[in-house]
Amino acid sequence: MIQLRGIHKFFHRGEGHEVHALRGIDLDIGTGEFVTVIGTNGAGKSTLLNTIAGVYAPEEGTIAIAGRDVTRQQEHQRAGLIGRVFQNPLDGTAGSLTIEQNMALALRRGQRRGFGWGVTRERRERFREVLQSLGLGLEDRLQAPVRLLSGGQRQALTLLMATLQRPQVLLLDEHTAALDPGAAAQVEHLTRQLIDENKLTALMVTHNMQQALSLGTRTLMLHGGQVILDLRSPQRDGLTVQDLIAHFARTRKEVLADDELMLT
Amino acid sequence: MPQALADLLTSTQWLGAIAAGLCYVGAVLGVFITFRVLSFPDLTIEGSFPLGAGVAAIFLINDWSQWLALPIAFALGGLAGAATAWLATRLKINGLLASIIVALGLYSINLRLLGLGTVDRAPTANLPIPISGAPSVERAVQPLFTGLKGVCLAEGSCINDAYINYSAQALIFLLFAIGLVAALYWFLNTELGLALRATGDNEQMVRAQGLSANTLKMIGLGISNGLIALSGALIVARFGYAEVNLGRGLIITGLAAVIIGEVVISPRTLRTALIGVLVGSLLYRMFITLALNNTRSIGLQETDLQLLTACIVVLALALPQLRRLVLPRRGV
Repeated sequence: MIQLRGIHKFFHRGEGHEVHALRGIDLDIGTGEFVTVIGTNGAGKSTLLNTIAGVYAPEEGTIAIAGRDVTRQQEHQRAGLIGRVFQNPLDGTAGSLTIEQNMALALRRGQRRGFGWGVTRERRERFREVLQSLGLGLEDRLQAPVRLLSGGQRQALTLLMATLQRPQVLLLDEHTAALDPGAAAQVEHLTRQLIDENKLTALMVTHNMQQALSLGTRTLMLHGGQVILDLRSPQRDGLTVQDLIAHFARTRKEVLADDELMLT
Repeated sequence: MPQALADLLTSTQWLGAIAAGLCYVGAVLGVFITFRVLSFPDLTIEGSFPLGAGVAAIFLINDWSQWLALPIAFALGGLAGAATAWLATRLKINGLLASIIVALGLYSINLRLLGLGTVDRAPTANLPIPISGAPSVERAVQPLFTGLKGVCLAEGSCINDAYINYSAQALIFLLFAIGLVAALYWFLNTELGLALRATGDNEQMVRAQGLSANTLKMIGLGISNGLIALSGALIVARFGYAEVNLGRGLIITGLAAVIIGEVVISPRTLRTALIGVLVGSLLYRMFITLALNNTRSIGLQETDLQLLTACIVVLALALPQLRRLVLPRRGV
């Protein structure tokens, strides 16, 4: 579903403080795979996700999604293929618009917008039904501005919006990191549920190693802009956080003393 | 008419203020779109408003269809707005600066345009419209009011020809204003309109939904300045002349009207916000007319208009801060 070939990404190239954020990433993610991505700060996790999303154009290499070469496409041009949820719960929705208006925008992701009425009666019914499945009571607040929602509610709504029109790929960028533990658990549950139900191909960046192992079907560890670990079933089955750290230490021959990697 | 209001201004003066306020609704809607919907402070208005006025003046002087003047004014104003958006998004020039550049360029274009209405076609700063060119629509509506002639609303305030003229004018402008507000309400609720509203709020989200924020800004600024130019065209009908300096300070006037509307209506939805624009535009004009027509009591003259507007805007903008200073703090 996703094919990365020889991806190199630089920041501040030729400026003295040049950063080589991705160093030749080759990656194949199959249809229906749910990949979790871990790594220390600066390992290139978010850069990888944002390069797939089209926020950054790689200096070298090609990206294909669902068989289409999207390397030269801008963020909004490839958005029809990609559903996204961001770390900041405020980033995924427009606060001044109502819940139903936000959903109407998401319903036509990647399609041409015209002069048709945004929130029709028919659509409103559909939004109400979909929101009911969340169990957050948002179906009764369709006409409330999104800015009145809590961070967890906004993130749940963003997740729902990202899958309202089935994406080829779902990209989750530490989407539970900014939430309180209760809301984080709720959003994590919803993530699992939506990916399972819709059989989505997903890529999730996380700081939380436990989450990386308990969710998904495959785990990647990034370090210094390269994939240093790629675990799938059966090696991945029954793996603990300790095993993961040991794997990392063995691969890199260095003790993992970075407290940015949360040992939870 | 209540005696207290009649004491302040004559009925024709009140109607004149209302007619002017209604003419400016398009311009205030334009300011509302850029400042409130798109969060893009846009000064193109200083050029796009007289541009619309110039177009209308040329049409009236040449006795061309005045109805055709309106869509052409809208289209040219729209182009000016799109030019500002293009400079800001594609050439990455600061948005405010881009709009000032376009307004400056338009100044020369407007001088040329007004020159087309003169015999020697030399650039000119203003263009009076001969009586024969006055809008015929207005004359068509006047008979509606002739039956009122001679009726006295209050002592010394009887309905005369001027009153009928202004009534006819005000009615036409009212229909226009309501039409514009309704059209904008409809547009901002379409799929494209929702995308536009999201752009002023969260560009990241807009891109993730597959929309180009740059294109949307171009559409938004285009519509905004189209409405502003349309308003400029209506002003020609109201005051009977076009002038290159009509747009001077209009951004502040428009903002004052938007803010007054917000203070009076405290809108929570788009619908109430748009009604606020209508109300704000009317109240602002009435306020100005009141102040200028009571020159003896306050000691103001027409040239003090800009200072007065500046004071109103400062007052409106400073209101939250002033409240905090005057009222004691509650809680921590």
